[in-house]
Amino acid sequence: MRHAFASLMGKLTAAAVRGMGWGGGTAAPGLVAERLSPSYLYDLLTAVPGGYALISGTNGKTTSTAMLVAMLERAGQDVVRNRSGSNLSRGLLSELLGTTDLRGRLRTNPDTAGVFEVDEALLARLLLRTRPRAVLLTNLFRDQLDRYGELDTITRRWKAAIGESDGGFTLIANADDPAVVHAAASHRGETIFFGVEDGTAGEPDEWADATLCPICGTGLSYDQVNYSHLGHYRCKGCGFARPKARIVARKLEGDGLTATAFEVESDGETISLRLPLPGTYNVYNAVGAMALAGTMGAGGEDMRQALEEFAPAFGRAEKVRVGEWEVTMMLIKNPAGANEVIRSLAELEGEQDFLVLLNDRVADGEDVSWIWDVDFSRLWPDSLVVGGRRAADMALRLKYAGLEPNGGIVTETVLEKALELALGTGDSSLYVLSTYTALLEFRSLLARRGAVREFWQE
Amino acid sequence: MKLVVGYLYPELMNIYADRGNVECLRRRCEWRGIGIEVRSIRAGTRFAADELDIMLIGGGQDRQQGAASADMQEETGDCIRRAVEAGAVVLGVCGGYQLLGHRYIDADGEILLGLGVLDLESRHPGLDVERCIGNIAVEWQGETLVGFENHGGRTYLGPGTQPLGRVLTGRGNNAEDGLEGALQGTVMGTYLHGSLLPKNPHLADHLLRLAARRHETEYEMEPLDDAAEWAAHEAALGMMGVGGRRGRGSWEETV
Repeated sequence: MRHAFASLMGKLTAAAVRGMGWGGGTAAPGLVAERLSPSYLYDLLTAVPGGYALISGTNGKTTSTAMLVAMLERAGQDVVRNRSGSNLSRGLLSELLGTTDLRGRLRTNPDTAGVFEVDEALLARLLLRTRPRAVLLTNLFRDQLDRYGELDTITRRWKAAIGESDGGFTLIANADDPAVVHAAASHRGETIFFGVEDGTAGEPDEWADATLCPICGTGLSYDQVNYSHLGHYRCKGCGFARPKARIVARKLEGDGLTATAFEVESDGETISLRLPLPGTYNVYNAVGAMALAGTMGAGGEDMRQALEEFAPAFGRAEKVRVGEWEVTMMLIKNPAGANEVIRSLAELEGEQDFLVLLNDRVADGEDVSWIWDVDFSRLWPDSLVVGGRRAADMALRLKYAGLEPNGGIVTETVLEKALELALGTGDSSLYVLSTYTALLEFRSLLARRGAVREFWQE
Repeated sequence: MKLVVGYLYPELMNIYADRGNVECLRRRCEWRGIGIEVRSIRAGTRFAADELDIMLIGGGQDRQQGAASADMQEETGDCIRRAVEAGAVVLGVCGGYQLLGHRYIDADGEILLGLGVLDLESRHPGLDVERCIGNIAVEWQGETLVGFENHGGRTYLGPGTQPLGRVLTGRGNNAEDGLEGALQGTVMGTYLHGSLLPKNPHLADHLLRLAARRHETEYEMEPLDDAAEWAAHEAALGMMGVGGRRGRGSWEETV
């Protein structure tokens, strides 16, 4: 009864938010329903007939989730998911409310499976209160210290929650991330490790996030570094080391921002594929999602086809046309992710015009200092416009990175004007690097110009 | 002749992008044609007392801060202390600031020993007490400093040290006495990151001037085009509702 009332109020909220043109209703309906019935989310998850998978980690949640859904759907599986990347409990609940009947009960086909990306803190809560079928842990990087706290704190919380859960799920974990492997060690059920064997020898950069042994605190030694602290590591102090991965990506070959070709080997079977996304980080997303898809019934050929036709998720090298222009949107939100984005951009040839947007709202992180740990000096912009609430901070960062575009670094806090300025320079392709809320605003602006749909309509 | 900057414990004390401070000093010297070299001083590194003109140390995570504290009680710590005695300029931020003091007592009551080059002590009041998180503006020598603070520990100054400045908005050393940072001879500590120096070019040049005095050939700190620096500074002040920076003219005249 309580759930029915919560469901009704949530639905009314959704109708109101959309009706008033305030947005897509990806958070408020769930917030209302959760207030009225705190256990509603747990009960709805439990009611998903085909069970559900949870995807968490600092980077790659949205892309991994979208890849998993594409693979499962190609395999003929009905899927319910949180579409918008709204990964707090209110986001999950908002999404699930859309599939409930008037009595607040889940209304799906009998074999529908759930796929949900969840914020790092929500994962710990759900592990203790619900019973997922599988859990994918992508990676742990430093992210929004003002909101999430230190990396070690999250690692400890995950480890405790995994150990205290009933352990009845398959855990898919990134073997190349020492923090993830440490957290995964407390799992009592089956763990499947995935990884990449393609890195260069050497030490992680000095600003990499987790290069001390999570057990004894000795500095980790690396045979291979893929990026940040991800690689093949070993502790000379206590013997902690990268576990052998069952699903491995090899022979990575990038093609600018367009694609990455690689091979995946799993249990003696090898699949070659061409993923239409740049960067080693997306290969990690693909391999993790493949490992998870395998446990949920997708076959190798379904995986390959789904990934080769994969359309990028929100702001992940997402391309749109604006008049004569091709605009490529790249979400940046923390040093590890942003440095990988920069690395893929640095390999581009030809003229490059950039629009860089920095906001400091809660969802972006109010502390903008992280931009000083991003190596922007690898970019060679022909023109450069900077926008967002903290445009002045970004302009300063880019000045100290030594960037000297034609016309200097142009600062314009009004988004519409910033876009006009950016389109007024150069010729045909514009790269937009942006934090989360600034990208939402930017996409809304493009939507008003008819170039894209609002993200919640996708 | 050139200035030598030592970046202390870059592999451990690196969480709040304090690398921006290193980058700031390096560029501001390069733009003026002043030679500058940056050396990474990792745990276990030895160096001579007169080798470094400036030492920078940033914030770290708890575990990394523990590792740095342990190393400070070994040879590297002795080298740093001898360099301070020889007049090296030091800037510590956040966790690095805490470790310039005598000790840091964490939330569990564990004691991390510091370098003791600032007469102060920091204590974590417990995990149930709110962290000091947010934008912060400080009055320093009649001017403003802007940054972001994020610290659980509270810092209390001893008689041998004086505060760097007065909090205009934000929490500062301990969220009680309205003071922020510490200054003792050529050693300076603060909770402001952001990164601190790029947005506060007057402080960056102040450190460079102090360091230049160690060399017999005086370096001139020629004025630079700091429009972008002050735009970021003013934008941060505006965001915090603090009026424009004060007394800049008068400060420049006194230096």
